Amino acid sequence: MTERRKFADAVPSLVLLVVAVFYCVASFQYSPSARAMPLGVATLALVLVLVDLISLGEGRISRIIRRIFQGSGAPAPVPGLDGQAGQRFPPARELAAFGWIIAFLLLAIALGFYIAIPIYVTAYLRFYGGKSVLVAAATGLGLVAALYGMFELLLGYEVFEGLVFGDIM
Amino acid sequence: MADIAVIDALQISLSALVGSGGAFYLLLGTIVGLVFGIIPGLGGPTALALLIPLTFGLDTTAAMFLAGGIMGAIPFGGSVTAILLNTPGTAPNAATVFDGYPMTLQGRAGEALGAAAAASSLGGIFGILILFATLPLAREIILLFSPPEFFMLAVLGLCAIAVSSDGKMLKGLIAACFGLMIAFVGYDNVGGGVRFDFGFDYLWDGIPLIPSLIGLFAIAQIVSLFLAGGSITDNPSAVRVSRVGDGVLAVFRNWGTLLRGSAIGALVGAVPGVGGTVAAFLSYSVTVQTSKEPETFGKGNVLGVIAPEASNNAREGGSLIPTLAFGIPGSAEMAVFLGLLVLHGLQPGPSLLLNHMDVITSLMLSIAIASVLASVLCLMVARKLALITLIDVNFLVPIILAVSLVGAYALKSSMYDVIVAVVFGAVGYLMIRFDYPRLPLVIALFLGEILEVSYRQSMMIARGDWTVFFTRPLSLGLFVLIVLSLSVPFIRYLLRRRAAKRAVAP
Repeated sequence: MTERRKFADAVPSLVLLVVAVFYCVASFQYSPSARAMPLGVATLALVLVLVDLISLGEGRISRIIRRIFQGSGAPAPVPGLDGQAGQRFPPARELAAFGWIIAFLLLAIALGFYIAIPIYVTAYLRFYGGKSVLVAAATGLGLVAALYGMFELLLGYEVFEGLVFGDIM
Repeated sequence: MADIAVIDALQISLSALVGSGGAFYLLLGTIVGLVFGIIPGLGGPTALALLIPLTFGLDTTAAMFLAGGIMGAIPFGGSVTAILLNTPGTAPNAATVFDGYPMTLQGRAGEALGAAAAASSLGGIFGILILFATLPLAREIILLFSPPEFFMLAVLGLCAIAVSSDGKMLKGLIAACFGLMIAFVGYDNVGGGVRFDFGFDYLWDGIPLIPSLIGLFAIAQIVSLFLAGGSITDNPSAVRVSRVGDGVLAVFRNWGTLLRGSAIGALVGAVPGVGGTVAAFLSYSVTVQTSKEPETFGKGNVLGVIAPEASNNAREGGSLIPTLAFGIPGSAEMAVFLGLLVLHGLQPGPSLLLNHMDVITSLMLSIAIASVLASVLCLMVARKLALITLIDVNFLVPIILAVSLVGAYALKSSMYDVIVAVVFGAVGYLMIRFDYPRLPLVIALFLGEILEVSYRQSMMIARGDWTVFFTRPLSLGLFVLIVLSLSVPFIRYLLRRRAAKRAVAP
C-alpha cells in the first residue's frame, strides 16, 4: 500500500477527528450540566475515531482491532458506492453531481423555484442527459406545472419566489 | 389480547378510513409505494422522505393512511421486478430473485407473481396481527419505565443498531456519536440555554430533522443515481403473466412455509437494525434447510418465493413494535416515519402509545390493507409496471431533486431548510462513499433528546448519584443487554478463531 493511498484512506477519519476536537473545545463555553452529555459523547467519538485510525495501519494492534470490529484481520475493502468494493467513481464525476445540485440551489435562491426548476431540468437533460431540447423543456415545464398544482393549488403553500423578486429566505 | 382502548381506537380508524377520505390517501400511498418499490435504488425511506412535507397540510390520520399505504406496498413492489426482470426493487427482494426469476424463464411468471402477491398480503396481515397483540402488553411495560430506564433503552437502541452493521461496528458507533452531537445543537431542553449555535439564529431550534432526512436519503440517492446513470434494465423479456391463480393456491397449499416465513419476518423486524434483508434471506435459507427437496431451490421452486415474500411483509408489523412503543426505529424506513410523526406534533414512544392509539391503529389498518391492495393492483398491471424500469435515470435525477428541495422548503417556508437538506445530502453521500452506515446517525438524531433529557432527569432524581442507572432492576437489565450487544463482535471473533483452530487440528 502506498503512502498516498494510506493517507487517502485516513482522510475521512482525520476530518472526523478535527470535528470531534472542535466540538469538545466548543462545549467548554457552556455550564457543566449543559456540556456534560455533549462533551461525553464527543470524547467517546474522539476515542472511536482514533481507534479507527489505528485500525488502518498494518501492525499487530491494527490487525487485532480489525478482527474484533470487522470480523477479519484483512484491511477493509476499498469503500465504494453502497459499500460495494471497487465501485468507485472518478472524483470529477462526483463533483459534477454536486455541482448540478448546488447550481440548482443557487438558481432557486436567486430566482425562486418556479423559474429555477424549468431552467435546471432543461439544462440538465439537454447537456448532461443528452435529450433533445423539446423533451428536456417539456419535462421541465411539466414538472413545474405538477409542483405548482400540488403545492399552490392543492396544499395552499406559497413556494419561494427568489431574492431577485424580493422574497426573503 | 387487545384491550378496550385499542378496539375503540380501531373503530375510530375504520370510520376515518370510510368517511373522511382515508381510503383515497391509502390508495394514493399504495400506488406511490408500488412505484417506489419497483424502481431499484429508491425504496421506502426515499418515498417517505419525499412525502413527509406533502402531509403537512393533512390531518394526522390521513397522513397515517398515506404513510401506511407506502409502507405496506413497497415490499411487494420490489418483488415484481425481482420476478420479471431479475432486478430486485429493494434489498430484501433479492431473496425472491433466486426462485422467482427462474420461474419467469420457465414461463411461470404469473404463478410466481400470484404466489408472491398472496404471500405478501398474508404476511403483511400476520405482521400487523402480531403488532396488534403486542401493543397492549407494550403499554403495560412502558408504565414501568422511568428516566434511568429510558436512558438505558436509548443507549441500547443505538448500540444494537451500530453493532448490527455487519463488519462496520466501529464506523456504526462513530456515526451514532456524530448523530448525537448534531442532535445536541440548539435549545437545551433542561437548562434552557442555546448550545452550538455559533452565532446563527437559525440553529436555536437545532438542526431540523426532516430536511436532514430528505438530504440523507433522497438527495444522497440522487447523487448515487447520477453516478450510476443509464436505465435500470434494457429490455424486459416478453413475459407472459398467466396462471396467477396457481400461485395463489400454492400459498394456501404450503401454509406452513407461509406461517414460518411470516413469524421469522415479524420476529426479526422487531429487533432494531437487523432489517428486512436478513429476515428475507433467513426465511429463505430455513425453508431450503427444512425442505425434503433442497436441490430444487434456485431452479424455480415456488416455496422459494413464498418464504421471503411472507417474511418481507410481516417485518413491517414487527419493526413497528420498537418504533411505536419505545421511539426506537428498527430501520431507516421507520426512522423517516418517526420524522412524519414529529412533523404532526406526536412524540414517538410512550406518549404516542398511551394517548394517540387511534393514530397507531390507522397505521396498522392501512399497512394491512395496503399489503393486500398492492398485490391486487400489481397483478392487474404487473407487465406494465415492469416497464417503469426502462426509464432513463437521467429523468429521475432532476425530478427527485426538485421535489425534494421544494418539499424541504414547504415545511417552514425557509430556504435555510433547503440548504440543510443539500448539506445533509452531501453528508449522506459521503457516508455511502466511505462506508459509514447512515442508520445509526439517523437514529441518533431522534434519540439525542431522549438520551440527554432522561440522563439529566435521572441525575436530578438521584441527586447526582450515577449508580441510579444500576440499582434499579429494569435499568440494570437493560445495561446487561447493552454489554451483551456490544460483546457480539467479540464473541463472533472468538467463535471464528475457535472454529479455525479446530479445522487446523489433526
